[in-house]
Amino acid sequence: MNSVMVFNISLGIFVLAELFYILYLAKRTEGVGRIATVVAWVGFGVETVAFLLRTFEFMLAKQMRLPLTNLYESLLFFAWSMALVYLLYERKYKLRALGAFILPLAILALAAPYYIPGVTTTIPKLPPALQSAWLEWHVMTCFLGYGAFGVGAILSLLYLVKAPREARGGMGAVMRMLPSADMLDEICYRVILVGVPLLTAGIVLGAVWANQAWGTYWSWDPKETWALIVWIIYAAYLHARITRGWRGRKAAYLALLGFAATLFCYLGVNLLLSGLHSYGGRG
Amino acid sequence: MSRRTPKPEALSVWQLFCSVKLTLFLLFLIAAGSVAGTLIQQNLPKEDYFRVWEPGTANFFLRSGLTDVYHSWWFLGLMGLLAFNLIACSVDRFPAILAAYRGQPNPASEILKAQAFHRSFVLPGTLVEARELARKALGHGAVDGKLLYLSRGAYARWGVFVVHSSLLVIFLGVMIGSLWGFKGFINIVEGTSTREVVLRGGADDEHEHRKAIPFELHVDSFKVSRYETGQPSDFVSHVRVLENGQTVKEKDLRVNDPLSYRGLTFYQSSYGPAPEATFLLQNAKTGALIQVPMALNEVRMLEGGIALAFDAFAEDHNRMGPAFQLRMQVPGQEAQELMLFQRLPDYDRQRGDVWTLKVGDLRLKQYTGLQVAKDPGVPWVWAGCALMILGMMGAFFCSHRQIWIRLEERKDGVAWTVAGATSRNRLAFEKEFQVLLERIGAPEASKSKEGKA
Repeated sequence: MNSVMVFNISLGIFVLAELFYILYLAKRTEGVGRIATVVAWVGFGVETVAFLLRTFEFMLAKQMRLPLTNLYESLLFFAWSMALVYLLYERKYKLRALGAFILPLAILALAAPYYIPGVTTTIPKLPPALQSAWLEWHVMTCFLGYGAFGVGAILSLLYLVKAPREARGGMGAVMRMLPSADMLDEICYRVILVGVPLLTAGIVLGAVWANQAWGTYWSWDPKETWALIVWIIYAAYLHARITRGWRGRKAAYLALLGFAATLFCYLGVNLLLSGLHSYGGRG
Repeated sequence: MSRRTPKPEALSVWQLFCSVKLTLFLLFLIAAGSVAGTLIQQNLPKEDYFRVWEPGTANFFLRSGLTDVYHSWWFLGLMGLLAFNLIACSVDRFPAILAAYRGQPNPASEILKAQAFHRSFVLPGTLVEARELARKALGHGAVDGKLLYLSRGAYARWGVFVVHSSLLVIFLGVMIGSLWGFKGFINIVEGTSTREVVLRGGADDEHEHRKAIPFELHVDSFKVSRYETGQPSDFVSHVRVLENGQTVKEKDLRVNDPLSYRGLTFYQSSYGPAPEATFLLQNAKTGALIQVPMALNEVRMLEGGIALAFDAFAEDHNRMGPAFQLRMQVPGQEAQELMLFQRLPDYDRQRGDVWTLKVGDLRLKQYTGLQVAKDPGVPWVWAGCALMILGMMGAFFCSHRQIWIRLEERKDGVAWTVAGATSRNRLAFEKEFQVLLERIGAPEASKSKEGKA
């Protein structure tokens, strides 16, 4: 049994959890919802085990690193982060109805090797540039941030769907199970409040690492520049919201724009632009 | 502050810089410029832009600085305006932050009643007993004055201020680095030393700008280690720092493990072949033989006015083994280019010239390419980054909570007024406030005068 198989098992469990979350929306019985949550936590646990196993495989290959070194592994960690952020918020705010909408992002990320051509799953041989203790911290903070922004984007989408229906009064059963529009808006804000310091720490750790490897903490490489653009969009979100009172619709659009930029920073830069972060690319 | 009637011009400019609208506008422009910089390839030679774009577009890109966005006057100008905007906002908000940080230990009773959280009730007992109870309920840190006052997490008020100041500290570090630092590189052949570096990014790239360094850097060896698959796993230069001929520092320099000495840092960056060969120059008529030891790229003047240059080298050219490209000029003749192969000693005879060349021994050395940086701004940048994250923690996750308890002796006991305020996260504070009221033993909300919470 290798780690890729365990990752695929966790993918299967997340799909099962998704089915239970959908069933929960359809049946609206607490019991089904509770099963969905338990299954999702099991999927998260299995994925954690898969990460431990892959770390062990790295050690067997004499690489004392956490497996966060290429596109495949970053997708796995992105799914793990999304699941963690969502499950913690589900516990805190009783948001079970959101599960059906948020898990698909994690499932898409875990299943990426099956539809993005050239995403390889073999244990990589690390080039000298990646052999740094900063690697893990840089990747972990960035991707936990991305995970938070992903959850925020789904909340914003749901807000945009729900708010006008709530105002009109003609809501379907599923819409009624979701938290109120105001609550969706507020939770999105709080998730972004967690994401921004994580992204900031990720950018700073990347700068510390670049300074150690190349002697420049900032070189306007496309990845760096796009991370800065993402940071600026969320900085604008916070300022618009706190000092100019942007709530609801406008804030939701900004949060969506922020996540679109995040996705471009994560995938678009590697697949479309060239630069120093080519390790994150295909292969 | 209320309305200011006649606005002097200076004040309104100041107010423009104090506005968050301006911040949002500047952030938008900086983001847009940054996007442009990633879509248009930066710092290519001029001709490349004309190859890809229409002449009009290419000219526009070149003239507007879009081919070097991050160093263009308008991008730096936007950064400057943002810095000024940050300073103005910070100065403008400073008095209010300071006042909020100090809190209100002695507010008037109307102010107490105006708080979002407040409750008034009467409990039996004496004033002394009530004061003791209130102190216990508030716990550690309560101030006992005209009224009991507890202020927790006041530092959170500084969070936003610290985040904004941290950006200015980072800008300061960047400026220090660009004024007093430099970036460069050096290629050093195994077994040799250098005392100067080639500077990067000078005003004109035509000429190399060299800079002396205050010590000697010697490279003993360079090695590449590989995985079984052939991919490189490690690049190591064994280097020594020499002062007055004495080794003062020695290190295996690797990627991610630079060498620092006297404010300069050296980073493993590239490598390549640096062959040294002895060429044998023979005169077909006289039989005279000259041995010429040369390194790649060397030019030598020989006896009799012959000039020889070693221009290029390939370890294995078309499976014919080591190949050498040279230029030779014999007085009175035109310079000619010639190829030599170590395995074909008679190859050059085919030219039928008087002077012919062949390769004697070959020493296959390598050079190691090192980045060199001096950046006295770096500590400032890191300090700014650390402050920014600390500031965010304060601004996003901490709240300044204040609680006041006023006690007045009455015939039927003691009249309590309990009030509370928080800078953020009202939900959590509401719970905290309820717990406090329970600890005091306040009657249920419905039975007493209730402030809306």
